[in-house]
Amino acid sequence: MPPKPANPAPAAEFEYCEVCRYNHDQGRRHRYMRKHREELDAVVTRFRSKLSDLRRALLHGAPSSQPPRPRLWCPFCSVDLDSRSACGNAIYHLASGEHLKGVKDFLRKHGGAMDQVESLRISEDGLAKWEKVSKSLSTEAKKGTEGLIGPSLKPTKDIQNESTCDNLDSFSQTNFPSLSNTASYVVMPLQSPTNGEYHPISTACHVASSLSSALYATPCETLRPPITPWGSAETHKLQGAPPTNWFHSSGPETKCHQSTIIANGASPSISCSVHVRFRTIKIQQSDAGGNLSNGIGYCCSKANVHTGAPPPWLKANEYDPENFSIRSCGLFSSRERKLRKLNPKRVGAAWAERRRAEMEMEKRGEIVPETSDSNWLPNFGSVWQSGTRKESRKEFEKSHKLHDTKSNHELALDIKPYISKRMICSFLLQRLGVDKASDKDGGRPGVSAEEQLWRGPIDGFPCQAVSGMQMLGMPSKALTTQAAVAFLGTKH
Amino acid sequence: MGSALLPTLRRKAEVDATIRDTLDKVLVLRFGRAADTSCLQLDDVLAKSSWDISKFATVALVEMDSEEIQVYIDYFDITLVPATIFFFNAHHMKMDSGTPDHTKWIGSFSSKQDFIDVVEAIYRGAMKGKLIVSCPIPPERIPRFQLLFKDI
Repeated sequence: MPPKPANPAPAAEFEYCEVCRYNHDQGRRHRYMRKHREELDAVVTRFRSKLSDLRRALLHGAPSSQPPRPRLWCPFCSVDLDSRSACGNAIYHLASGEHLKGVKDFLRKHGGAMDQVESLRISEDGLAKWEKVSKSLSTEAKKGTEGLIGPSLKPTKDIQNESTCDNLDSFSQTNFPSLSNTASYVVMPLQSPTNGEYHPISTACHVASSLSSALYATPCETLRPPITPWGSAETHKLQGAPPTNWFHSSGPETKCHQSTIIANGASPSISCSVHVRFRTIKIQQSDAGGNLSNGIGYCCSKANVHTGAPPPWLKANEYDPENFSIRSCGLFSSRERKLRKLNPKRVGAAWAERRRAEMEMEKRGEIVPETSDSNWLPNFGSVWQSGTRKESRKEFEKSHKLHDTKSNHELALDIKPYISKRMICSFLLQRLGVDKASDKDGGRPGVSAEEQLWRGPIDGFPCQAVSGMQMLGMPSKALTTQAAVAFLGTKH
Repeated sequence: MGSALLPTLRRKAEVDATIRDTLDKVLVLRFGRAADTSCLQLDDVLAKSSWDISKFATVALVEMDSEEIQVYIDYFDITLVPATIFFFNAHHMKMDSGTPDHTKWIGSFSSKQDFIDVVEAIYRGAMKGKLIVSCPIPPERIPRFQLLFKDI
């Protein structure tokens, strides 16, 4: 008898699941647990959102000095990418084969779908693109930030050094060469480490760069765009005038302020919108002349609070659909939150929802508010109520209608003085002065005058009586017997 | 005086609109005549406390001598004045106060606090989905009356 296969170990080994963060003895079954799958989904989506931020920065060619996230933990390789101190390293890691292997291992171990590997790493194309952009940007930034003090390599984020670039000195020296239109050879401070190879700048180049330096250094109010307060900007908008947007107007100073926003690290939406313009500027500048890219870098580093540049929040004068949508979303969410707090089982909850939607639509003018519904009544439980409150309303409406018709009937039967036909006849004859003798001539043959009178067109009403009533102003349409009697009674 | 501070409804359409458009709040409708002495006291209480309860209730006065209001007078079966009726999301709210009529509050409130308590009890009950609540006021402060039943 062959020995029975050994049972699986009674107490399976405990294993730590780094996704769920606890020890379990469920073995390979664990990865199919609902909780584990939810956790895995959460981890992957969290990482993906961080990665998308990074990608956005990558696409826009953000300088490596500005990491899009303060921290980035790679859950697949268990590496804190922030600890490597630069965003560039994070990007290199995410594009590396090591990371790819880590992602694959992680997904295999925790039971994720393998088709999402590509969405969890950065492709080589993206890396190459980013490298190209960041290289050009970093050279410009370097040239701009490393000023007169020397070729010492400082961290690019050093704001203090950026602000102390001796612009004021240069301003006093340059003395607005471009404005006075004297393209003289003014000695410019060194903008970048030249390693001893300092070539005198060409005239055009010199004018442009000195102009830019003057613009940034100057405290002069004529060159600086006036800082428009919120209110005035709003009124401009309301009047339908073109927005007084300094960022749209052409000219060197506006370009510089645009780049200010980039340098100050504005919110992603703003920097995104500005970046396009930044590129266009770059093209213009490179058209102008060889060394002018230096000027851009210089501008980027210089325009800040010390040089009187408008703060980035004034940028919001411009219509920004993203900002707007965020604001409206905020309002909506607060209202939603308020509504969500209410008990969904409260009295008339469904009715309130419907009515609220109706009111919204009425406010927007999509539907016409009901004003003609005069028979509307709310539900009301009467004292002797049995059944729903709607029933009591229906009963009331029914009885109300009955009551109405009854009261109408009573009103109609109200006036009933008895007047004999003979009396009417004699009255009319007297009134109209009808002569019996004259009737004999015009009357029908073989019928007495009185008899002829009685054969009227309506209900045997006398013809003369009808005509007489028409004379009195009574329409013949309304000549029912009862009405005529009533009429006569009142007239009499 | 109180009637001058509170909105007074004289047409059926106004009452309809008030009932329909008061959402997620208690609507307090006082049926009566502003000149009545008993109404004067109630109006005073309502006007003084309307600010305190304004977050969860709206108070309106209905002039019951108006021609158009007579439908409501019949429908709500109002014979004794002043009569106060409560609504929540266009649903009538009843209150069991130990009197023969649960559908409305007859007479005045002895103090502001009593009225606020009543409205609060109704609001809390309505938010829990209850169409009838019990009166939070002690019975000695509830005005007594007798119903004379017609047509029975």
